[in-house]
Amino acid sequence: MKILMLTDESDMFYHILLEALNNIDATVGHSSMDISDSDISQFDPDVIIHNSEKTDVVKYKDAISIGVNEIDSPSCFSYRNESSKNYIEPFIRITDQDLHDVRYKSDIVYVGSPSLLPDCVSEFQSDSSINFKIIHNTNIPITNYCGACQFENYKKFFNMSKCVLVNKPSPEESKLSFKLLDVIYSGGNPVIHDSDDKFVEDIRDALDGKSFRGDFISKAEIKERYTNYDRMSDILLKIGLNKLSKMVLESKGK
Amino acid sequence: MKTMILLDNLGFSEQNYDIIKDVNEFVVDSIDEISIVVNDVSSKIIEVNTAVNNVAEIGCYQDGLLMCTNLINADHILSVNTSSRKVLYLWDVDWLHNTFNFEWVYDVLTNDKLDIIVRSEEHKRALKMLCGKEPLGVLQNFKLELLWNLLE
Repeated sequence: MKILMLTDESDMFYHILLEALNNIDATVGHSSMDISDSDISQFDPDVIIHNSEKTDVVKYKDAISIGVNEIDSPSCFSYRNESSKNYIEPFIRITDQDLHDVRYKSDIVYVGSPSLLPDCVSEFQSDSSINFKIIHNTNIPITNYCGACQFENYKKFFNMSKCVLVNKPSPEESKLSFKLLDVIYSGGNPVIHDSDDKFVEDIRDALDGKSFRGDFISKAEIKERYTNYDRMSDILLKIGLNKLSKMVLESKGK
Repeated sequence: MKTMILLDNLGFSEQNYDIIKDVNEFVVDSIDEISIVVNDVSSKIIEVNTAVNNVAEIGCYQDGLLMCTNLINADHILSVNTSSRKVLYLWDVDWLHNTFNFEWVYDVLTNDKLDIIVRSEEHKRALKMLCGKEPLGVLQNFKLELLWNLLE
């Protein structure tokens, strides 16, 4: 079995999904979309996975083509559009990294765009006795902004904070967002914004030591059902590649 | 106190004006050895009445005070192996205006070899929020003698 993975635009979630194919007994190739048809023919893949949003971008016809994009097609999958027929549920990357690191310690942490942070948290931002860190990949001159962070290290912030602020998912989004799964998997204490008053109250409770972890799916369940291996297996199963799907699941945790 | 100040350049900025003005006034009747080193020597806001050298000089600056005013230069002075005392006079909260990796900022600011002086209580708070480090003091307007007093 030969699998060719083509990347059009760099996307962290797409790459995490592809990582699930690294431990199976198959020849795996990676390339950008610039690869020529003759080069693909030389590799002679059985399966091509790509994330290009253009139709017919893969002209090589002797392989099963799977798209992780937003195209409405039986062989294309989406993890952004929940109403898509081939919607991929959120997933996490299994990690055995030590998340305990005092550098990441805080009372409240918010990872994401400050423009999405509800105004009601300003009372915590102005309280100098509370260590409130805002982390985002674009610098924003806002109180408590502490810089950007590598993808894998977000989990350390989640693990080392008394309270992790999570935005309310939009009506189209799954309640189990990528971020929420990451927070729970990291051992963080998620507080979700629903109404302003409840949010402030929940943050205060979390700062006093209340755990909200029990309100959500457990870490064990996430490891069991919400990993990149599970989602890649789902995709392959839906395409009809049952044996490959099983191989991916069996390679989980190897 | 023997002091070397690392600046990005001598171009137009409030920071350069304040620091160079104070240095110029100070060196008129002082025997203390004050020098300035810059990353970019191409521009000058006002005449500097003391030695101005290229940044490479920091590598052999011994037994003095090696001072800078921003995070990137703090990383530079920490990277040189000299016996000088290293001080960051934090002119602005750099990490609010440029995208830096949290880990890098944290590691620079919490380096044991770096003393930090900030310019306001708000800057002190931002520093503590990011890494928990207490600055040696708050000095709003740059004045060499006051800065030395804080370091003592």
